[in-house]
Amino acid sequence: MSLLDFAYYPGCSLEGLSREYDASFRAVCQALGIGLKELAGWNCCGGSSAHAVDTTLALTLASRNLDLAGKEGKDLVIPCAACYHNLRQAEREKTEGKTNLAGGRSPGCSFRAPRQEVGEELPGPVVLKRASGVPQMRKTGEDGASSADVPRGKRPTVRLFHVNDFLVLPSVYERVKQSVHRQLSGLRAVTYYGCLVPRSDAPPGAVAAENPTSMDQILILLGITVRKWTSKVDCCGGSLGVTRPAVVRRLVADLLIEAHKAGANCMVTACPMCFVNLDGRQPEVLAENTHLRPLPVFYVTELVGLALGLHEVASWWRRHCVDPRPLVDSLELQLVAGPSLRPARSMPEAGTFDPEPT
Amino acid sequence: MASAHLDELPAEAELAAMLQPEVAGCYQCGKCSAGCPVGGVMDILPQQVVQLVRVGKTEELFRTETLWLCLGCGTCRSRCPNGIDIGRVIDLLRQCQPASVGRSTVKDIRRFHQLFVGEIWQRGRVYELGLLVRYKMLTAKVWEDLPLALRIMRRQKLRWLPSRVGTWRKIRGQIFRRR
Repeated sequence: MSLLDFAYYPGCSLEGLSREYDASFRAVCQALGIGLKELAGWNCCGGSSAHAVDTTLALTLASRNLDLAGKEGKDLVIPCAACYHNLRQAEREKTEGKTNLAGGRSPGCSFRAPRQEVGEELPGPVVLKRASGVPQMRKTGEDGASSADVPRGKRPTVRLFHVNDFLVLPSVYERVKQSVHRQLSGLRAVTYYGCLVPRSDAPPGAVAAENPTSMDQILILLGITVRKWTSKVDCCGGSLGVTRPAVVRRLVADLLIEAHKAGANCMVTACPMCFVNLDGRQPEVLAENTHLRPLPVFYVTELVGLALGLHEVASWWRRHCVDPRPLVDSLELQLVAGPSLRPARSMPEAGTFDPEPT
Repeated sequence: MASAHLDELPAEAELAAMLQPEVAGCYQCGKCSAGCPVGGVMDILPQQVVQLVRVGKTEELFRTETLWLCLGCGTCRSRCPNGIDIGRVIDLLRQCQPASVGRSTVKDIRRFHQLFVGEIWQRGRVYELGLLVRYKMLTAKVWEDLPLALRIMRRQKLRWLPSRVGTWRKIRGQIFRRR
């Protein structure tokens, strides 16, 4: 099998609130023989706040990471939906000189950085280079990557992939297919893409903006029944989870109701923010809506790991607020005969789980 | 050039003139309002934001809750038949809002965004625990999410110590240019 190597941008959430997403993604890649190199010195993409405070700052933060990836010269995988969205925005701005409102400038800034200490300035600009002021139509190649006016010699162009799109890359998909160790039939999932990823990629009005299918494809490959529902790209409330919990509880309740109507027994997502709102807030939502039953939420990479027969799964389930173990234990895991990239160790028994976090 | 900032906040007429070309195509079909996930809790709907910009009443927009309730999810932009990016319009309005103006009911959301950016200024990455504690303390909502906090802490989801970019102090001056 050919060598597969990617650069990896984890983002702040994957170092904290969604460590199980980071752990499962790394474990899956290791099992598939895909090399991941974390971008050295990556910084926060700006999250969902920087663009509200200062447009220029938001683009500069994201584009510094693009520069790092360019130096690395490998395609970049980004599991976090918000990070992916912000880096894509910055990429557009760079390659197309996208005519954002006000030309991507900030009219003002409500965040004032403290006064600089002397000697802090370094040469070498990290600021965005914009094309001439004239808006240019995007020239799109076959793979959807832009071939606009980037001096290729100067900065190697790398492609950005969100995890969903990464998993359905032909080379990666094939490896998953060959290494699936057990079919997860018995799981009836609804795929929850959240708002940002589909809309980062698909042009406004495109079918893919309302009905993306990449995660569905990968789940079907794992033997999971994917239920149709209409909330694939609805928003979970994002950072209002911190500032307006009641609003987010309402949105999460709506999603749970839709998922139950679709006959799902689990929900699958690929966004740390969605996961925290859906999983972390769910106990409160269930207390408010007594007719709802708990619905385990998974990261897509966790299910790939489960199907590959990785032994680390138990350490991921431990970080879920809605315990997925009763569901996972009830699955009839059908072993698939065939070559596996890595000899799978046995799944932990239900009773042998160590509750002490390591 | 991206680094060319406007030094002063633009006046109402200037701001309206900047935003109006973006919203010129609107014919008030209402798809943005229908699809907005937080439309139900907003005081004015996205299509009304657009209309107020069209008639140049940006001052009025500064005094809405909608300005800070917008999630930036992009649903309105994606569904707008005229490709109007309402989220960007709202972001620019937020940036132009003078600190003294605005509804007191949504000041905490503005505060959150500023604290978030302050985290990035500090170490280049967001220290979630620090951000959440600081936000809840500053807005006197310490008890609001205690059950969630306990749930998350028990599962060791938050890291105790912040992660940082090694060379951040040297390069942040380039990124956070003085305005």
